[in-house]
Amino acid sequence: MIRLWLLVCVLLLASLLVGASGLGVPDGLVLWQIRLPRTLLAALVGGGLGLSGAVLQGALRNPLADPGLLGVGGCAAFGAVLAFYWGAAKLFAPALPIGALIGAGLGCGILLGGLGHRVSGTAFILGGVALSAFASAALAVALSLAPNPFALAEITFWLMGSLEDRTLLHLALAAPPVLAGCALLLPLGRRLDALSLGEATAASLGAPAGPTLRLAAAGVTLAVGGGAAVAGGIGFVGLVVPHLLRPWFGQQPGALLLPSLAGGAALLLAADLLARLAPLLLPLQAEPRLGVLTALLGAPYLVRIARQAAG
Amino acid sequence: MIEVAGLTVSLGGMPVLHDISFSAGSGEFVALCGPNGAGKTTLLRGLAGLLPGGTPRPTEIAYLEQGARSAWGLTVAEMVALGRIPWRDADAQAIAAAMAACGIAALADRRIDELSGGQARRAMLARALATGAPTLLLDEPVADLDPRAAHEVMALLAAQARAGRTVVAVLHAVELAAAYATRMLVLDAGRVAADGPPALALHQAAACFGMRLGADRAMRLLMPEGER
Repeated sequence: MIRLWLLVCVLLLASLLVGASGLGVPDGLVLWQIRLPRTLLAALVGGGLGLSGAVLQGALRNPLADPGLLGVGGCAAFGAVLAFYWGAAKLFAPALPIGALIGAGLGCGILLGGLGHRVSGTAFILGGVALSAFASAALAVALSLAPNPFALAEITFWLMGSLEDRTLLHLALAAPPVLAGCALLLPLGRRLDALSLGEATAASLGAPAGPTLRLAAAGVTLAVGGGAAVAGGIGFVGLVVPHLLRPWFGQQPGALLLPSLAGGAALLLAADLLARLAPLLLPLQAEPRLGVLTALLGAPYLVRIARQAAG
Repeated sequence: MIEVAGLTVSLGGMPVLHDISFSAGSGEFVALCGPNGAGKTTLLRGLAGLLPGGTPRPTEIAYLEQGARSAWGLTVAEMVALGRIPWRDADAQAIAAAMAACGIAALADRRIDELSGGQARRAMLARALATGAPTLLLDEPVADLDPRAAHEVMALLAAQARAGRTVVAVLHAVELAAAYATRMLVLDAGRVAADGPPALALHQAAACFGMRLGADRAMRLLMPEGER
C-alpha cells in the first residue's frame, strides 16, 4: 500500500514537471495555472473512477461491473451536450460541467426511483443498462441535431475525454462532488465484504443489499459524475484498476477500496503523462485524447488478466 | 430460542407455507425434512427474518444459505472472519475456534475457490459458527459432502446443540437426521406433517417421500467404533 502511494507521489511530481513547454520545473504561471490543475484533476478523476469501479464490482459481485454500467457517464454527457447546445456554455464557461453534473444526478435519481424500495443487484444492473442505453440514444439524437459541424466536432472531442487546458475553476467544480462521493464510498468496505456471500446472507449479517446499493449508486454518481463533468468520458479505469490490484491486495472487496482509489489516481496520472509526452516524442499534431488512451492501454491488460483467470 | 407463529407465505402467487407455528429452544437440534418444494427453505428464511417484512437478528441468528458460495476468491480466514461483521470486530479467538471446530485450521490461507466442495462447505459452516450466535439456521449443510464428512458435520452440529445452541438444519439425508438430530420437523406441501423425536417422525417423513422405512440397516455407513 505504501508503495502504491509512493507511485502516486512520483507520478504527481512527474506530472508537474512534464508539459508542452518541455521537461523541468516550469515558471510559476505555467505551474499554477496549467500543470497544477491538470495534475490534481487527473489524480482526483482517476481516484474517483478506480474507487467507483471497486465498489460496483463488490456491490454487484461482478468482475465486469464498471461505472459506465450505471449510465452515469452517459447521463453526464447528455447533460453536457444540452448545456452546450443551448449556448449556455458559451455565455458561462462552467455551464457545461454543471450541466453534466445535473445530468448525472438526474440519471441516478431516475435509476433509484425506478427501482423502488426493494433494490437487488440484478435489478440494479438491468436498470443501469437501460439507463445507459437511453442516455446514449438521447446523446445520438442530440448529436444528429447538432446546429453545425463545429459543434459536432466540439462535442465529440469532449466525449472522448481530456484534461487539456483545465483550470483551477474546473478543479474547484470537480473536487467537491468527487471528494463527497469518495467519502460515501470508502466506508462501504465491510458491507461489500458481506455481500460477497450473496444478498440473503448479507442481510442475515446485518448488511442488507438495498442500502448498500443505494449508497454505492449515490457515491458513484458523485465521484464519476463530478469527474466526467470536467474530464469528459474516460472509460476503462474503473473496470481495470481493481483487476490490476487483486493479485497484490487479495480478492476481498473491502480491502480493495483504498488501493483502487490510489491505483485509479496513478493510472490516470500515468495516462495523462503519456498523452502529454506523445506529441514531444512522436510526430503528432495534438495530444491523443485521454479517454482513448486509457481504453487503448486498458484493453490489452484486461485480456491478459482474463487469460490468467482462465488459468 | 427461535419461533414463528401462524406463518403463511405465498411466493409469486403460489402458497408455500400454511399457518406454520414452530419454536425451538436451547439444546435442540431440529432436522427440517420433507420433499422438494415442501417449504423447508422458506420456513428457514422465515425463522431467520429474511422474508419480506422480517427483521434479521445478526448477532443472535447465524444463517447458512443453501449452496452458499463466495463471489470472490477470499482466503478461508477472510471468509470465516465475515462471521464477525455483526459485531464489527475481528475477534481472532472466535475465528480460530470456528475454523478448528470445522477442521479447516490448516487451510486458513488457501483461497476458497481452490478448495474441494467439502472443504469449501466447511469454511462456510465455520463462517456461520464464527458469529457466535446462539441460534444456527443451516440450509442443507451436508448436501455436497462425502459420507464421512457429512457424519462429521452432523456430529459437530449435535455438539453445538449440546453446548446450548439452538440448531435448525434443512436435511435431505433423513437417516443422518435420525441419527443426530434431537427432533425432526417434517414439512409436506407447506404444512407440518410430523414434529417429534426422529424415531417417530421418520415414518411420516418416509411416507411424504412416497417411500417406506426399511427394517434392516445392514448397508448403513457408520463411523468407526468410539468416534461418534
